[in-house]
Amino acid sequence: MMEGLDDGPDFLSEEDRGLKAINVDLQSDAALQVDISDALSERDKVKFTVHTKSSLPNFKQNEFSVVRQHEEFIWLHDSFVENEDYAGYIIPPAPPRPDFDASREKLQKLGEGEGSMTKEEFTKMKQELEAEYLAIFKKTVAMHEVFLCRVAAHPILRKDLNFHVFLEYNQDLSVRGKNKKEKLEDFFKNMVKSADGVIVSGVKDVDDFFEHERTFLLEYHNRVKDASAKSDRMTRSHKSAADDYNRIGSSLYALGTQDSTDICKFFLKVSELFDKTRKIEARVSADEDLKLSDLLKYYLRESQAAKDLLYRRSRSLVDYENANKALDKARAKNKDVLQAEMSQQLCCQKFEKISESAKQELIDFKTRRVAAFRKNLVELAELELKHAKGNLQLLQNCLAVLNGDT
Amino acid sequence: MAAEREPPPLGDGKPSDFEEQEEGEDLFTSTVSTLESIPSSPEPISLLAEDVSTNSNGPKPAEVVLDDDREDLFAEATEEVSLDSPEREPILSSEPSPAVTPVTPTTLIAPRIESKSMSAPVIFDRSREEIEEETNGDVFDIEIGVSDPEKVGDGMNAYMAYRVTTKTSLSMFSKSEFSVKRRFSDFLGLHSKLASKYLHVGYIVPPAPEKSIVGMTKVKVGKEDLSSTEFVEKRRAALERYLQRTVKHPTLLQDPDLRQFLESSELPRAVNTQALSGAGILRMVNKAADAVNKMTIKMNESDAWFEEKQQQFENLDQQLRKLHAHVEALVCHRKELSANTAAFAKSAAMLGNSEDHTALSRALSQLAEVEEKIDQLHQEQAFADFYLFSELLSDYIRLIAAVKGVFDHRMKCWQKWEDAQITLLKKRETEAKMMVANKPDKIQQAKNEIREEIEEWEAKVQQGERDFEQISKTIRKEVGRFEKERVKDFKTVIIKYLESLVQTQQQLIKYWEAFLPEAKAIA
Repeated sequence: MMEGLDDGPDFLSEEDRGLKAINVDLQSDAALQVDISDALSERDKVKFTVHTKSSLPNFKQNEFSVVRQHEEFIWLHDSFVENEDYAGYIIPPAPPRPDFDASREKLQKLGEGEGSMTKEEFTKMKQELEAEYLAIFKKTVAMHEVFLCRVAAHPILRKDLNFHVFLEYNQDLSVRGKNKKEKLEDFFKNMVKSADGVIVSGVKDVDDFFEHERTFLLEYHNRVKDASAKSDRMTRSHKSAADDYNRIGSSLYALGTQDSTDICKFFLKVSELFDKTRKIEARVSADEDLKLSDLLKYYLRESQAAKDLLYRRSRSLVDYENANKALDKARAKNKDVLQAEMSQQLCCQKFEKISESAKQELIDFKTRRVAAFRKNLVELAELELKHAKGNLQLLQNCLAVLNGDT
Repeated sequence: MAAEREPPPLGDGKPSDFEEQEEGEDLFTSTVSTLESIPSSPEPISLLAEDVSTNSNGPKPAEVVLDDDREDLFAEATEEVSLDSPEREPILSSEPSPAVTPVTPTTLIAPRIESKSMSAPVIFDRSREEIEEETNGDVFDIEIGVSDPEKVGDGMNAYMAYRVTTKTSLSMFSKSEFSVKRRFSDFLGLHSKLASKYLHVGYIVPPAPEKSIVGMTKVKVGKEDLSSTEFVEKRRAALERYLQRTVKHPTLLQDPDLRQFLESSELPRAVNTQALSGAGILRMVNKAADAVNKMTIKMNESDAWFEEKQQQFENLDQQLRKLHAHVEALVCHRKELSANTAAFAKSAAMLGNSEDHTALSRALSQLAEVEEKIDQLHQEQAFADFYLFSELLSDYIRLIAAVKGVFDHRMKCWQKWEDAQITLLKKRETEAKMMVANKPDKIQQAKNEIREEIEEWEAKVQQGERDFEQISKTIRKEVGRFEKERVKDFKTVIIKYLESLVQTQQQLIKYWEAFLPEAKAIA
């Protein structure tokens, strides 16, 4: 399989395999299967076709599709976050916004610079950029899909009404993106939340398990963030180097066609080599991006979601303790005791509910994480090996020909 | 006496037809008995008493365009060593050049050449090579290494001294292996001497590495950081390549200055290589003047070969520059990649530390180690990218500039010839006018004067023509040699570069193969 040399259909399947592998146990449930069967990229938005197959009675049909945009995914995610009932679960992180700006800019610049390069160079670069655009596109599709799959796989979240509406309602959900005012509100909310988080985290937890998890998650999250950023930079450098190979190949080609001595054959052969080797290097960079960078990015978001869960639990613990104090005070003053008792009961229930599900969620998180890392690291190593061997073969063949000629 | 066949132009009374005869060489396919003035080009204008007969073997320097049939040169042993070298001097050294003339080499091999008639330097060159091949029986065998850069002195007067080691079996050197210490300005001095002797007669003298004020200042100031070490290494490698190219040139190898440079332990300091010295400024002025002149010379190119070649070199220059820019970008990106990989390795190690699942933690640490090794690989590859590929290209870009310079010299030579012809024409007109005007008292003296001048200028015209043909021939040969060298050079270096890529891939395979079981072991 000449995988290294063809950016076409191959890519999607690897993408799917790659990102789905981040959550290994997603495909196992026949009761509800969700995927994104198609996607269309318009000027500044992407339209995803969400396809559902379900045997659940809640749905009118067994199989149906709707068209959704990115904002609607965000709406769904936010509705989970704001739902008090789900406080005890790790909410699957929202997919990142599709960002074609960089790619579009490059294509535009290329169009402007068309006059200054040869026909071959222009065609080559155009193909390069189009492949890049396509790659980004496929990635964003995959990330939206993973989000839906995670929700569908979660025993509680999959029953959410909003989720069903999202899947089934084939009109526009009329969910507009947040306007400036709402974005500002969000910003303040986040600030308050993080300030609160600091206060709340000061409270030492009685439960060892949670205490350990808290320290672990904090450190882990920071390090994953760092690793994700560095991995990103590494893959980008790799891609730049591969692009340089492309240009070197073109230059060598020009040299080969214009030279008058017998070195022209030599140049043409080396130019060909650079073209081929560049494709492999580009694949290496793409695979590293997929298996390493994307993995790390995803777990950055998931660990953030896990941290949020812990925060919510700590918050409810603080509320519980406050309710206790209030109850004691009420009992002391013998005023509003019933009310205080009820409120204390509520807080206690809430806290215990959260704690219970949180424990399970965190254990699941770890299992998922280990499995995902394993799968991706193994695949990364295998792909690197495959590409290095392919590269080596190319180089050795070329050298044999060149040495034979001279 | 005369050659077996008649040189076509003889007795033709052909007018001044200064087209260079391309088939000059074909005229002499048979033996050349005496190397007299068998004009390959049509007779000079002089229709006067000076009989340009083939049999004159007088002091008049013969214009000889020899063929490649060298054996016959030695067969005839009639004339003596030409003594006209001093006469030629002023004409040859039209550029400001130091005292050493191009003809010095003659004296060194003179003892061997009594048997030949040497009247034109072309014979010298040819014969020198032949002599080397014939009498020495040497194979071209000389290896030069530049190594051990050492900082000498302190502060702004400090400089780097390099050890130049020569290994050779050539008999013209006194030992078979020797080394000397040289500094950068010594190399520049050597180049300047060689250039002034050989460039204007059409030899492609390899250019010396470029000066770098910034780089050297850092070294002088004593910064022991990575960039100054790199700078010194880059310079050392460049100096080595420069010397290797220079000794590969058979004519330059014979030059005594080169030999002195390689052999003698003490070398007079070349002060006029400094940028701000008097000589430096003179150089800059000359360069500017040259540039202006080049634009104003309109040469009647009679030889399509030269036009073609010039165009080819122009194209090649452009292509090489483009390629060089791309390769430099590759070097830059690879260095970036190496740095980023190192950063990622550290980050992955940290991540592995904080991971609480033991097997995964171990695997992540292993990944960090692999990435660190890969970072090393990238660094080494970047070096190869640079020292092999990029430097090759920049060397050739400068070499092609030297080639273009040589073509320019030919144009200047033509210009001189042309000017001489014009002046001669004017003098003749003056003479003719004098003949017509009848002033008996002044006439005799003036007539003699003008006669003398005309003779002088006729000689100059002839010399100019000879020089022009000489330089054209030399250039043709040089270009042929250059192209061969270029092809060989590129092939060798590029193959070496590809081999470095092969090595990198092989190492990568090793590293990832070692990592794979670790990843699989995550339970």
